[in-house]
Amino acid sequence: MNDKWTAQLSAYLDGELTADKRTDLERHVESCDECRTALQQLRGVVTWAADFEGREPANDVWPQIAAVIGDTPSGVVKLDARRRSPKHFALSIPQSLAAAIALAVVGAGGWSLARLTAPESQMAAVIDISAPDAGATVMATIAVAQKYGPAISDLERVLLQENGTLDSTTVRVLRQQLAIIDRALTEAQEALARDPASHFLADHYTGMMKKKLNVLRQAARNVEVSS
Amino acid sequence: MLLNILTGALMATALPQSTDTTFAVDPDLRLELRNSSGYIVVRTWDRNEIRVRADNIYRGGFVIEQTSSAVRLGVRSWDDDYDDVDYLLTVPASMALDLRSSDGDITVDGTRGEVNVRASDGDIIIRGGSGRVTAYTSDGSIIAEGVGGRIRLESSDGDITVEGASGDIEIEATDGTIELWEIEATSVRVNNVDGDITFDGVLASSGSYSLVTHDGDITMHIPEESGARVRLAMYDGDFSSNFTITFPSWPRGRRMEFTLGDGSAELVAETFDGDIMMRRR
Amino acid sequence: MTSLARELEQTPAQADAIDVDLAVNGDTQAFERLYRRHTPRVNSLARWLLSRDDVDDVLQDVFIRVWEKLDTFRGQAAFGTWLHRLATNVILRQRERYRKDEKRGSGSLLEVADMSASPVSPGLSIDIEAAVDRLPERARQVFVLHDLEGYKHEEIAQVLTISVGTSRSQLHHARMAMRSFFAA
Ligand SMILES: [Zn+2]
Repeated sequence: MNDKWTAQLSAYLDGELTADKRTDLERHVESCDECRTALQQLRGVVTWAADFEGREPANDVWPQIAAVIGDTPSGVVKLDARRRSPKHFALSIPQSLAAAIALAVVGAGGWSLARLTAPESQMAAVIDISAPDAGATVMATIAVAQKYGPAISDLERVLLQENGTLDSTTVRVLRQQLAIIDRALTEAQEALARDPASHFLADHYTGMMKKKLNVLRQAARNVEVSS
Repeated sequence: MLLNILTGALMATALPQSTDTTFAVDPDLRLELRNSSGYIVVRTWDRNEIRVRADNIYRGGFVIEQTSSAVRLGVRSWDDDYDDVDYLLTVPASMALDLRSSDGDITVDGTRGEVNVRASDGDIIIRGGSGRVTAYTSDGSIIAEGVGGRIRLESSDGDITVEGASGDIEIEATDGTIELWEIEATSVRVNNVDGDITFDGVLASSGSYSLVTHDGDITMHIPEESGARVRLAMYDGDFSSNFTITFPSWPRGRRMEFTLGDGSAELVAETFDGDIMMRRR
Repeated sequence: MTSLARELEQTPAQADAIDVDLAVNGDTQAFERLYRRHTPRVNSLARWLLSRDDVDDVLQDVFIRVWEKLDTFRGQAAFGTWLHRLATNVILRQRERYRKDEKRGSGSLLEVADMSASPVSPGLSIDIEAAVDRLPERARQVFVLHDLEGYKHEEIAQVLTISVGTSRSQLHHARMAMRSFFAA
């Protein structure tokens, strides 16, 4: 069973032998009972594995999954009803209760009665950190972002010109990249028009402008490296 | 100094040539390799030698050049262009690597030195590495595993995965999924435009973590007992968490902040169009 | 086959496609049907890749992740294929964590199983499964990834950090060790 052919049987089954080796092996298998038997059995193994349907788990974990994905209607805090798919929920009460108990034990070194009698999990203190004079700050931020404009258009013109220094693949990737960033910029701008006081949107817009400039600079650096 | 290793009759023959050559090297030097297309695979060993196996050398000769700071490998061709060669290198584990390929995957396995890899079109895999590890590909994915040093990865079009890193991490991407697993870094900065971001790791006290994308979900797997000031913003998306504390409903387009534990680290997650999920690790 | 599939005379794949559509829109009952249909194979996959019997946590993780990612499934492959890829990723990641834990001494059931036990009644699937249990860990992982999950040797080499050659030879050893269950 240890002839040099045995070792090739798996590769043969998987179609990984070269044409020459395949022919040689097939010729040998015709004359060797042991190899023929082994090949048939190996085929059985491979077929069994492909058709194997698995074994039911010892425990059904669906209840735990359902609790996390929000299939338990009671005690679930739904964050936003307007969301297109009702997917992401906070934990259901029993689990957060268990977690609270665990925390109480670990944290205080003993049972905390307050925790146990108040099963509702603690509400986080969330504060809006948008600046009070957001309007003015937003305008200033956008003004800064728009200063990148000239540098960006210069680089775009040079890098994307016909018969330029960049090869066609690089230009294609660069164009795709710029299209994605431009779409993001447009979306951020439209959002700003609807919500002109959002500091987050203004920073996001600025971040995308910086990104665009960096992408162009990186491309320009590649020209220097390769030439 | 120019060491010209001749690898058989390397005249302008139509048949591709191969080489398998081993030579001594000072491991403090940097290894530089330029290739036009073909894969580059680098493995390491504990010898002060480099073994080069290269296939598909059609033109010119295989050249090893040594300067005061670097060893350069390449194929000298008739038209001063780099050839399309497949390389399998075995190098001293501590050697710094500087590898470039226009078209082809680059794999570095088990190094303990600095790594700088650039591929214009191809995937990059780096396992190991320390000091400073940088990788850039304009069209391909990047995987970095078990990197000990500072990491900077950039891909224009492709996914980026980092697993098991402890040094500072900086990732720039435009179109791809970013996943960071088992992270123990004190500084993480991910900037993406179109794609999800996943962060799994511990937050060091006074560490700084910033995850920003335009179109994609952000999932953070962090210990419930983390201490951090958390700043989140979504324009079109929801925030959800399976932490013990629950959160009030989230106003869109507003930057909101809350504190976990002692609030020592800073964690920022912002997405224009996507959900933010905070999960217990 | 589920009752729904039988009613509509669907193949499991067609039933999957319908249930995925429903589940993406938040139908948790449709998602439960997907869970019931696929959990046995994912369970076996997890047990074998992780070399342990208790994989409840991993199963939960897998299906929660499937739920979260469901809207990224665009029907480019069969749902089962997509799910198994995702499941394998979650399981392999978990494997890394267990490996770290093992340094602290937590054992696993499968590993202490008697490797020399001989098959009782050849051909019975339960015995074949037991034979997979008894394969050496590395051979079992390669066999499961290649023959059950359809991974290529190059991919296996990458996820298990072994060489392509090792992957090939371990697969061959695993198959050879199991072949006695199958008639020639
Ligand atoms: Zn034979």
